[in-house]
Amino acid sequence: MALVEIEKLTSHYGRIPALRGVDMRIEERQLSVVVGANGAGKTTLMRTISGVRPATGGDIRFDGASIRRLSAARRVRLGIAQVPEGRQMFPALTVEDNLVMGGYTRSAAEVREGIDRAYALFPVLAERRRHLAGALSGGQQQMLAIARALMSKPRLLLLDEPSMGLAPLLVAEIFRSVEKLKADGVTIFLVEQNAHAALKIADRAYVMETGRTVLEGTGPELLANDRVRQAYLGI
Amino acid sequence: MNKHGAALVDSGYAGLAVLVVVVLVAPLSFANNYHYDVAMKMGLNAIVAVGLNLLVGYAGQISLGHAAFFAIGGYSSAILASRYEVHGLLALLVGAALAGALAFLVARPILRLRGHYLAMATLGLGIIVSIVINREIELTGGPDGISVPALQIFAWKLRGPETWYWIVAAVLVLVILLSLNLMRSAFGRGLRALADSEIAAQTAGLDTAALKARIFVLSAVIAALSGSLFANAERFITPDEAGFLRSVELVTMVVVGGMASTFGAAVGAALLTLLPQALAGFELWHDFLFGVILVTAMIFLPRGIVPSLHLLLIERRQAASDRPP
Repeated sequence: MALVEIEKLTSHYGRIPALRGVDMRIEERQLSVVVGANGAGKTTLMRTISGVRPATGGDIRFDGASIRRLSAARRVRLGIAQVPEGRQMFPALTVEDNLVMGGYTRSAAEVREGIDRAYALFPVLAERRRHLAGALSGGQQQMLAIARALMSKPRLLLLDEPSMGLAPLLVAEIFRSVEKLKADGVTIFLVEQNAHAALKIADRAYVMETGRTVLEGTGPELLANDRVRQAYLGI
Repeated sequence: MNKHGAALVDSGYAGLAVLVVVVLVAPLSFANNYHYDVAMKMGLNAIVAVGLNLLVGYAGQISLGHAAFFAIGGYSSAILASRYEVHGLLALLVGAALAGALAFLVARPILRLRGHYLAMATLGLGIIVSIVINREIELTGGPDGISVPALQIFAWKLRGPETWYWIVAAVLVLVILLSLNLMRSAFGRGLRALADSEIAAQTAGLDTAALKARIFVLSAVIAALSGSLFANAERFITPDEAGFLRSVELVTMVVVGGMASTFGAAVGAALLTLLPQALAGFELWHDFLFGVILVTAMIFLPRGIVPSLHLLLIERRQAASDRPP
């Protein structure tokens, strides 16, 4: 059984549909990727899975049980953590306090453990632990956002456009850490505009257009697909 | 409003010690009851402002209707004590409970809104309460106001500005202590996280709706408490205390003093209460001068008085330590 099963999922902004019936499966310990243009509904899909946005129809099952009507806070407790688009730091808190906030649902001992793990994954954060998060560079903020989400020990990590606004070198570094997380056994759901980088590391990949999934396959399959190459890779 | 560096701003318990000293020493300079009365009102406003700052400053949620909660506290004390002969202390508790209950009822629907919409909703709440107080003449006395019998504890009648100065001062110190401790707790961290990024707070597993409701209720109860003390101290309350201008004044105190700063709120409240009194001698010019002083303060101390001065102090210190010996 897949960790997440999404069926005919719809979501609306007022009367305007953003998701028009999405079907998707996220397998455990796999890296699933959604690529697509601006406005295709990628971020809405992610927010509907994390519970920040309400679904208007269809169903989301996590570990076999429907979570569609649960609040975002409850879903975090079940093991779903989202790295929101645009990083969304707590700029007035220090790096370490941002991590502590990420472990809001965990015990003090687990938070200490989590902080050690975060610093092992991103040593630069350990150097900056007493700095305000708002004073970090974009790349460091992205690392902090990922580390913060991992603090809740998620079974499913939702990554929304981690490469947004970052220099190519930093993008490569972020993707290396995503691969490392996958090797550690974390189930990852990644939404990206940087289709090339994302498809290269994907186990399973989907292409979204205007609120629907239009293509589906393994990462290499989609990388080789003519339509994907033309529309998203510019080849 | 820029919240960066808010963590730096509160100097915490040292500030509390300074406040206690000021409260103890200030009466040495008071020549008459009028001075005690002004100082007491500074304290009453500071209590509301410190409570309002929890909501506006720390949690980042605006309320343009807080005078309503102040008035609910004050009118509960006045009506229960004068019409139903309820003991003043019990009336005070009932007032706080009523304000808290109203805040709890409206919190979930209202606090789903953000920014201007939240401002409009809280504004509407304030106006409704103000209309009820003005119209329910048999109960509230209407526009003429209502008088309050002196609060009596055993044989001791609490009256006169001097007595009430000390009572208000003690409550203010307790409320500030509460605010400082709250912001050091996980709850306080949650509030700041909420103000910085609601989405990130949600994805960290915070129940943001419950968090907002709790802080709204707490700040309403604190406002009602201050309103009850006001009614008991002044022995009289009018619908002006529930008015829109009063709500705006309360928010102005928090902003001028410094958002997300417990002492900033207290200083802002003290200043905005004292200033009109100090400027009264300028007669027709006093509103004009009041405005000029506020605008100047916001231009030169944009984060609010206390946080701006605090940052200035930090920069000075750093500059001094950077200089080679």
